[in-house]
Amino acid sequence: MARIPLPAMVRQMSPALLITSLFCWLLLYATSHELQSVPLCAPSQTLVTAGAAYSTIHGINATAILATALWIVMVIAMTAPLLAQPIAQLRLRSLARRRNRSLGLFAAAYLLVWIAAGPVLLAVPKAVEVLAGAVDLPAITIAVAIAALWQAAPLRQRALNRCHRLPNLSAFGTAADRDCIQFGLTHGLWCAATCAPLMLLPMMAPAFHLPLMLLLSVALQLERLAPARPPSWTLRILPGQLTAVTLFRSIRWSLR
Amino acid sequence: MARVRKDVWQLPANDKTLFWYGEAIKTLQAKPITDITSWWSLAAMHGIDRQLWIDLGYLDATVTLPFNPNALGFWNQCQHGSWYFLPWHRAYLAAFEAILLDAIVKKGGPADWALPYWNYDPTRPNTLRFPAAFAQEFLDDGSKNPLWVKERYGRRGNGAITIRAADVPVVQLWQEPDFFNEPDDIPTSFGGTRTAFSHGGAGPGLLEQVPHGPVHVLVGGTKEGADPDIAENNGLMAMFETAGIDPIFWLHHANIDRLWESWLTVRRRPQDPPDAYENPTDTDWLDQPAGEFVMPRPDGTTFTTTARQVLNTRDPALNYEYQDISIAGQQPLLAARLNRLGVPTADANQLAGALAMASRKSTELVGQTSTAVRIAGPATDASVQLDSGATRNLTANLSVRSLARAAPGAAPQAPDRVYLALENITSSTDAGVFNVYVNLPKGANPAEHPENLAGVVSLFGARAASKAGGPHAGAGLTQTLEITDIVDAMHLKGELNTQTLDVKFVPETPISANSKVDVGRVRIYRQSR
Repeated sequence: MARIPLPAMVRQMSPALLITSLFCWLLLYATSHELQSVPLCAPSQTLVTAGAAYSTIHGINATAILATALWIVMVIAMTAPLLAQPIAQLRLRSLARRRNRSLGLFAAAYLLVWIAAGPVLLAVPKAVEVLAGAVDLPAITIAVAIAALWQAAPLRQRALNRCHRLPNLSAFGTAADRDCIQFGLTHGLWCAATCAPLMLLPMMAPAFHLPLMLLLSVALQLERLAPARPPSWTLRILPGQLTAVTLFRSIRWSLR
Repeated sequence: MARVRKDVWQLPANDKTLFWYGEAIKTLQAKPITDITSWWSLAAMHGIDRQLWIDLGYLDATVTLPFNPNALGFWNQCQHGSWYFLPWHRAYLAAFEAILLDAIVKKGGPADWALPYWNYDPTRPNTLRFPAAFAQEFLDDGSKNPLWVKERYGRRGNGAITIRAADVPVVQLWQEPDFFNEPDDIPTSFGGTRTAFSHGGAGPGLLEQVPHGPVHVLVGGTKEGADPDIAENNGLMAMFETAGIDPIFWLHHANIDRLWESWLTVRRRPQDPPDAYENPTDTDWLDQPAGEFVMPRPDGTTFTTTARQVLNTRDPALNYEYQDISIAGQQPLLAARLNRLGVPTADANQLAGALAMASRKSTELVGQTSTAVRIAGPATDASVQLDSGATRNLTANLSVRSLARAAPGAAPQAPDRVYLALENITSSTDAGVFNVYVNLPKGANPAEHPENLAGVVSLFGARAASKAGGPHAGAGLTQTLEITDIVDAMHLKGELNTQTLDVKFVPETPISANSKVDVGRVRIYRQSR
């Protein structure tokens, strides 16, 4: 059988980050399984209830900590593969003896943004439900509309383009530390701005929470692999839809 | 027999190549931009800025355009900062040439007409002059010269186009065996960085950097005394969005294409990788981006092509060859470098033959400036802070002892190459060229120290790369200059155990007081291969 040579864009992915992500997915899957047996969270598996459920099962009163931990696992699962390019650029621009330090600071700052975004994101589904009640539409319809509108907006493409930005980093001393942290924070912010509205979907559809999240992650990863493009209103509202076609086409080409 | 693309400076008297080029231009320019075989649509494939074209008088504001001028698609297709730069431009030139040939044959011209090239050969000063046939506004019979455009301002803005040998060096091309480099590395390869289809990536290859960039800017330039930040004041050749309108553009790119053919003839040396001086065999490059090189045919239809389909210029679909692809200047020899570094001549030859490639190319940061550098005035100084550990490793690597020593059973490795990378170059104008000097003696006149010249840098494409929300996200351009020889000389004089290294930027074109030309960081990398 002919070997399928992976297209260049796929080879840009980092195996280490993919494995990290996979590990976190398995962890999420395992916990979600355990959680299903708890009636408390059956209607909605948002992370706060998940944390609460955990507290109930294990008899520990640490809802907030557990919720945060699960949230971090979820963020790592979804975003780790997206960080291949910025991390490679960070390594290239760090002195060899400082590479691990740079990476650690970047990752910590990046996660911090997502931790801060967590409570806001978790509160939105409630707000959407209230809104849905007011306008007499199903909540999921409103969530889909918000996500689709954001996907089509040029503003989102601007944010996504900034995720491709090469960092301008200092090499020495505290300036280098500061720049790595700043890079992590700004990258995290653009990343959250690009992706967060899409995350409404799994949050509003608890029955399909995990599969939807996984699907979105794959789509966002494909989108991240495509080069940046000029911002304008677009109908390409499925993230990575074009990349998927290119990928398919190039695999077909390699098989000819 | 393949058609022959001829050297514009070696056309015999009474040769009709340029006459027929002019005739074809007249035909194509008479067609409306809505016709994809028109001069205007062909130029827009490289790049178009609707308002700029209207301001310059090349587009009627009332015309409904067939493609969105702001979108990347059939228009705005050109590939820069990418390993697709060379194959895309070859396919583009071939499609252009086929449309011109069709027009020429229909006018009764020769069926073997081919696009000429302008070989600005640094070893032959006469060829650096701007081709005379393009320079006059009117022909002998008083009619308008189709090869002329008014927006060519040259180096000083007065319309005098002067290219110097140092603006168009080519020897650096012959000492780079790799066609492409990976995206997580500095761009040091001949043909550019592995990217997806890219209108303006951040990783141009050596050929795209020089001589490609400086020729664009030194022909285009900026109107004397005018603000280069206003696109309308710049020459057509100086900007992506207008370059294809100027008839000289096509001769310039024919020469870039010719230099690619020349590079393929460079002989592989023993320490080079197995695919040295060869085109990539990677299917990503050969077959992708599948269906995204879209070219027009003379009959107004379009077709898609790929790098694989343009590798052999004698293939019937392309059917051309160059009059001369011999290599200008000599390929520098590794043995000579080893000899300079202190290995005795006899041993140097033997050692050069026995050197092995590094098992993996590795790139390490050695030092960088602590802030961005704003280029202004007659010269700008910057100081690169060096990391003592990394510098020590570099010094050790260059020492004779390490060159001669090898692990038992292993072949010794070639000494490191050293690069000055200008990263995150952002600019409010494309029309700028500057020279970069490294380690000049204090108070020295740069022009008197060519041995300290790291190279020439152009801002071609920098304006688009500086837009924050744009495809570059405002990260700007990256240019890489090899400074191995300068660093070798410092090493030999014992000057490498320094904490800082001086870099001087000397603009060749006037930079206006309000222009913002910034080099985000100047970095020094060592690379073992």
